[in-house]
Amino acid sequence: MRDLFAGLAFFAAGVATIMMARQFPTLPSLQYGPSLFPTIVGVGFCLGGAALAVNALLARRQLALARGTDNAPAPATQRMRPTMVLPPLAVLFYILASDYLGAALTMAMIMLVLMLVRKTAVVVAVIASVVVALAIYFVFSRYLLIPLPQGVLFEGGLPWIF
Amino acid sequence: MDILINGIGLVLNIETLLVIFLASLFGIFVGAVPGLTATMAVALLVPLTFYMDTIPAIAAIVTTSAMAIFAGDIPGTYLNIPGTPASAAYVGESYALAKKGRAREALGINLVCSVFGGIFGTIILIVVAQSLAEVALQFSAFEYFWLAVLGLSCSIFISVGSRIKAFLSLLFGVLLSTVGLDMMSGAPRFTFGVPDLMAGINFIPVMIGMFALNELISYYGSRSEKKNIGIDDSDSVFRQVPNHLKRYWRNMVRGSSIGTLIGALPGAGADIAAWISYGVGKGRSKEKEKYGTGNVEGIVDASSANNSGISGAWVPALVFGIPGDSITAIVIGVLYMKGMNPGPTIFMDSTGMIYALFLVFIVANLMMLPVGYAAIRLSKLFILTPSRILMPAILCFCIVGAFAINNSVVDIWLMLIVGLVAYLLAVNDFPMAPAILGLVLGKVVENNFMSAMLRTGGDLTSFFARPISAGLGVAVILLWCSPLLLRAYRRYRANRAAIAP
Amino acid sequence: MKKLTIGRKALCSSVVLTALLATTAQADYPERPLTLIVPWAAGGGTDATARTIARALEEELGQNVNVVNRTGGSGVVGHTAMINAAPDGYTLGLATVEVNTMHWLGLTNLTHEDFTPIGQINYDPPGIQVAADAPYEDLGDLLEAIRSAPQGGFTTSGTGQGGIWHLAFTGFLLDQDIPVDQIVWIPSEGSAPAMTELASGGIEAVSTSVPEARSMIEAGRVKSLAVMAPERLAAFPDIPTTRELVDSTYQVGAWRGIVGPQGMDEEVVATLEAALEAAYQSDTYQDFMSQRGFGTEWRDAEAFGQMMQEMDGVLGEIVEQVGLAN
Repeated sequence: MRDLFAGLAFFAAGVATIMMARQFPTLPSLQYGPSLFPTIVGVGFCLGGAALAVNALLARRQLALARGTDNAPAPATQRMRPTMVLPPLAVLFYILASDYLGAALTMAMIMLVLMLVRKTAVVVAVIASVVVALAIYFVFSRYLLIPLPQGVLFEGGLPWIF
Repeated sequence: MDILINGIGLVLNIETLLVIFLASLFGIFVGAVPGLTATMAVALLVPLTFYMDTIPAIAAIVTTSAMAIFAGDIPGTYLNIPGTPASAAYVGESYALAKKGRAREALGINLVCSVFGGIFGTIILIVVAQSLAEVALQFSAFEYFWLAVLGLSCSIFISVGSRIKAFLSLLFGVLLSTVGLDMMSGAPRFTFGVPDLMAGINFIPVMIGMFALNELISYYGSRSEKKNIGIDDSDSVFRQVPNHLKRYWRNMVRGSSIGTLIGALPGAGADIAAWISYGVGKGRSKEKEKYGTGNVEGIVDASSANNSGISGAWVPALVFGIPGDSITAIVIGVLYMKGMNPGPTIFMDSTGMIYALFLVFIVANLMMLPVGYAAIRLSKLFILTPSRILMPAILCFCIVGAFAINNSVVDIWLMLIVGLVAYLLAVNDFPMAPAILGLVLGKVVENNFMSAMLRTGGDLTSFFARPISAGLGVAVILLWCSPLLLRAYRRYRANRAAIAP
Repeated sequence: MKKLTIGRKALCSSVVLTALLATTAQADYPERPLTLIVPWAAGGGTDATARTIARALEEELGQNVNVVNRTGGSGVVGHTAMINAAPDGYTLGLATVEVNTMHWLGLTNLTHEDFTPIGQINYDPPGIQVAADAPYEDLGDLLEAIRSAPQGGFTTSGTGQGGIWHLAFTGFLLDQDIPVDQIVWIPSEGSAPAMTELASGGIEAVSTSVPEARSMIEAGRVKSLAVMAPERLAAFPDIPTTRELVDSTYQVGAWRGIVGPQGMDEEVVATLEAALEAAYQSDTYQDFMSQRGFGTEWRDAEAFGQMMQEMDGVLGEIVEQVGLAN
């Protein structure tokens, strides 16, 4: 059943890709150009998606024939907890907040929340998140010279560590 | 003889050895952290090499890159998150072994194969660098096109499960590779007005999104705190190695040869070497059905190939000053900086520099054994640290790693978006590895195809006009037709069997 | 009343403070480390040049100069980062010739006018390279072959589409009254793949700077027929100039210079200009450049700005002629 949706989604993505590729320019000396490969990918998406959907339908009919009914329940999938949205939200939070809060504080906050969600002892969570955040910050900005955002909040430096 | 002794003296001194040791620790760290790759590690070393002598500077680069390629397997084995793209080909095998409580065994054989591959590549570099570079220089756009197509095809044929899904996953990667300025026309594609996207999509944020973010979402979506990986007291790093080597030494030699050759080709590096070697290994294996369930054979093939690829890439770099991969592209700059200009003259120089360079390779690869062993022992931390503390830390490393590749927030966005798409694909049983390969090779296929067409005015037969190109082309077509041929053969046999009585 | 005093006091002190800050910003500049943005990848020629000049600048300014690579998009990403930086003199950039081409190609809106020029530190003229076993003895043979080739039948390479060597070479053909559609430019990702193609017989001529072809020339696989410069290069005295061969004064090449964002304080610019000139003259920089075979050319802030202006017009015209204008 899910394969049916996945197949249809790929088919739609294929059509969208082909539409967008049509706007690309062509090379002067050839009939094709930058649009060729995206178009091939789009066609591939359509064909593959269609094949997937058709297979899913056939499999479903066979299943139904085998069981003699058409309303066989879908195989039970593992129920996911709503906390699954936390990692992407954490990344989003970092993107939005790190310029203001600075990389170190943002990371510490993310880790603290994520640890507490999984019922880590509060003391352990606070210590672990602060230590790891500072370690990452120092290794990357000091030794690997990656310009991690320092944070508008701490503009002018943190005298007690710098 | 004096030159040789001079060269040895340049390496076997406290300073150089200390640099090799420190660089190996750095390489282990970089390789083991998802999101930091060997190429990036070398780029980060460039400013430091300014303040070093020639040989320590080269030693630092050689050691770091070799070590990082090996260490990429550590998070791959324990967490199913490959540390570098070169490990993506066989991460499924080593993770499956780890789930059986054989993590150390997997890493042990991996380490030995990496050391062997690295030294094998070095010996090739010493003995036949000149002639191998000549071969590599015969490769033009036509040959690269076929080679990349071969790599792409391998990813479908070696993937486990639905071929259609592997194919769609591959196309997803290829589509990502078309984002950015098209090299042929200079026209921007799928950039949506974001200047950072003009640079194209870097595979590192994509890889982090596909593997790491995916694992993180699954972890936070499940109730279980239980680890997939257990500690098995009988699991030892080196105990099983002699057995495996006795059984699979041919794979090791074959993997190393393929790796060195592909590494030596400018425009194909360790990641492609690992894929093709893994594919060839599976194709020739007597136990194909074991692949994907934790098969040592696949690990032997691919992990000796990626490390020998690292050494092989130095061949065209030293002989012609043409980089064999993204690491040697940086190395050439450092060599020039140190007055060791690549070219045939480098082999004739009288100060023993070239011998020192060869020796650095050997020492650096041998250094992998003790440091790698210590790292494998230490990586028990992945199991001992509770997931609830380890996972948030990994998330932060991923964010910072994605940012660090270009110092750009756009790459964090990319990691997030691709990660979400990849999660949807993964829960629907789409394999992720073909998408990575599609992203890495998609551009190679397209650029070389267009380049070839542009110069021949769109003549498709030109892909079979040059001898090497024609050979590669036939190989690819045979590979594509092999399932059909096989089926036809089986049907023929079945028919005969049915008629016979 | 009291309230007012406090208010006024605060106002006064803040005015004094700002004034104080403003003066110290100029007098004590630089008082913290600087950042130098490089629009190309670590390990390349531009990166090496940037790191060397940064090291020389450190000695002059007494502050660290950290090199940050912002790569991609044919230089668009890095140059955009430069103009978006705060004009406080603490973020500079190593601008490259792409400043004069990107906007003509329709990749970005930024032009040389968005920068504060500080000083030009390098100039590399293009060379014309062919395979060592190619049938052309000299530049005249090559030009003749291009002229007599069927339209679009002569394959050349060296950079991407609209890259500096593409434009420089096409401009030279125009200068020699050869129609640009005689050649087909096979875009390549940098000079190294073009060199491989040249040696493997995939293409017929490559235009890049001579140092980029150096290892292949020394390996005997490639020969350089000419360099488009008024005088022979010090590092390659055997390569004749186009001036000697065909009496052409045409000159378009790749420059590199230090710039800042628009709106920088004049005194800060003056400080930087002086420091940069000293850094340019330093042994650190000069030795490095001559060892790599890179060309050195100094222009102060004003002359650098003028040069960018002129180059912009010339390159705009070539882009137009090649049909790449957007």
